[in-house]
Amino acid sequence: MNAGAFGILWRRRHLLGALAKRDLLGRYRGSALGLLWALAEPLALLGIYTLVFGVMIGLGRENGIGSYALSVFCAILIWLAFSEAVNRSTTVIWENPSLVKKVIFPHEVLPLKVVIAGIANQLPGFCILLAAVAAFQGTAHWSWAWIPLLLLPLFLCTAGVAFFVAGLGPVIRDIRQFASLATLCWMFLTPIFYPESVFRGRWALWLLLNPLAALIHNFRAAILGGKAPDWGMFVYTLALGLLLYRAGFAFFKKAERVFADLV
Amino acid sequence: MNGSISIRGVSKSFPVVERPLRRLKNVLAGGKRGSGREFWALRNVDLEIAPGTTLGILGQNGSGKSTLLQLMAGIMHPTLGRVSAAGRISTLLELGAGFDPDFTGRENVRMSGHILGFSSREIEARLAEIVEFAELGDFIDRPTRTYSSGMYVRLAFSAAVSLDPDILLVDEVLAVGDTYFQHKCVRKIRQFQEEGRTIVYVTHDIESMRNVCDRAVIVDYSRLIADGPADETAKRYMALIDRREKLAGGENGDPGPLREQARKAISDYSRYGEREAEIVEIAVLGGDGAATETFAAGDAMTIRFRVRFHRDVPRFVLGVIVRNQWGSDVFGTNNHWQGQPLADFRAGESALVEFRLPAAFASGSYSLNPAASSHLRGDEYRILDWINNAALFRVRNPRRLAGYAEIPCKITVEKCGPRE
Repeated sequence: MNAGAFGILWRRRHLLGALAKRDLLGRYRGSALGLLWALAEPLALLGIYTLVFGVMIGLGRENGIGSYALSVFCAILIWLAFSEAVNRSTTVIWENPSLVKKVIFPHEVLPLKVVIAGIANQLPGFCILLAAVAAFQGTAHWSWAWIPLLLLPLFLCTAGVAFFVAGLGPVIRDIRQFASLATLCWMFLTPIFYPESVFRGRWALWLLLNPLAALIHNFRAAILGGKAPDWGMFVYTLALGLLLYRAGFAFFKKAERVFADLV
Repeated sequence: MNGSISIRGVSKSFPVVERPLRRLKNVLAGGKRGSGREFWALRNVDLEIAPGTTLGILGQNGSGKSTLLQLMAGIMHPTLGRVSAAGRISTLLELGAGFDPDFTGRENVRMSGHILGFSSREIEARLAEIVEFAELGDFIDRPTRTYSSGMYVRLAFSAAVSLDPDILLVDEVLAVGDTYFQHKCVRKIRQFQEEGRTIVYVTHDIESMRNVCDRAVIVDYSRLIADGPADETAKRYMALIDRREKLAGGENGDPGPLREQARKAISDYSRYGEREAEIVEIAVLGGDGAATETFAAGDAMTIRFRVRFHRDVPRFVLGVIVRNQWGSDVFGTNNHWQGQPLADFRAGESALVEFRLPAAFASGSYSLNPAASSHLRGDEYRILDWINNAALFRVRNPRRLAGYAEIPCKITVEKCGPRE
């Protein structure tokens, strides 16, 4: 039942779908608000960032607080899809000992389902974002058609990083603390609640290197700006995503050999 | 070829001191040998299993037999050597393995199907069959956390056999189910054998192994020490356990842990009583008076006991219970219940007792569990010598029947006219 790094996505699509669905349902099973919780985190972050950075510090003054909030919301959804998947991947192997040790199971499916569920979890937020943009700007945009295409590099980059941390997870348990700290730092170094123009001079290089910044830039262009994505950035994130995905997968497959002994 | 398993020069070690980081380094560097101290769960195992084989793996706890099964499944990777298995593999390695306790039985079966690579449509097509086979009633739609261990086994077995595996790997879990379901499992396993699927069955219950397997191996202290027809291997295993039992405790020594384990392994042979009267000989004889182990259904059968009396024993009673391979009583009687006058014996005397009966049982293995006792009054007896699993015999019955005993029965079917 071996499939390559990309083949696994097709060969195991039924399993991935079922696991991601179970992941999403299991999260909110038994809670009173159910799926509404998927909106709670992005909305809370949106509220607090808009208040602190937009109103109190005044970053929203330039283009109006409404468009500032939309821009922050768009970035938060992308960021959460990425960071949640990376953080959960650190523990996904040893949270499922019976799948790892007692049944024949393609382990690489576990980080993949976390990534898919992570992106799917933000879809209600995306719907709200689109509705809000339409209401605020008075029109929907044709450029929204690019969104599925933009999700591809987001998926590949996230899955690539997820493979690395998931492979290290059972071996070095500290990776969990490290990942949550690293993603926190990464978030503040990504233009989510401040404009890209902050990265000037010698800092410009960082903006260039950070694939999340490029991803967010393109999503903002397509969703808020009604523009086609920046194709240079798109190709860059896609190429980087493919590279990360392949390398992460290869690393994971090697580390996998000791999972059953360690979990 | 689908259904074949090949194990060549396989060894498996676990680090004794857990050094995960170093282990990972070794793996990434392509190094196979760990450094430092390690425990070798298996050493240099070679095993070729042809499609359609039913292989039994015998071994004591900790011998490495479960590790061998996990290697076959591909759940673990060998430290040295190569393991390959062709075809779809289903496993029953542990109670409720792969089941999420928060989800219902039905949801968990769907997930098992997805793990084996089935699409939703293919699973739905088999779901009715699985649910029916498991016979869980309403529980199928309740979370599996509410299941008893027997219910877990029912569901896991149903899912594993209904999802069309080429190879079925089973690790001692079947013993948990009730007798009725165990027999259902055995029937299913027979059907699998007829369909030419490969089955590997790990156990330390010699009888159930002998009942279903055609080939067996013994894993002992991490090595494969015997490989051959199931009957032969079973005998070697019993001899091995016997030898260990004697080494560990002697006839009257303390029952140390090994002795206990060895006892368990030889079909729960156990004995108690003061032995004022001692059963010194048991023989199972065929119609011709020769000792035999196998009977065709309905054959004449004589069970002969020789009893020696070490003290005076008034009102001597000898009884025997016939049990099936799963330990259920099929039939039992004694000379008192049969309404015979009871004799008194004096110290030094002997008695020869014979039970004559037709071997009217369903196909399977049966154990004899005799007891010598002294009748006190009413339903009270003083047990002098009781032996569990003293001897075994087997019955081959060409007819299908429900239950274990074949009570003579004539059936007539007559055509009647239309209703008046």
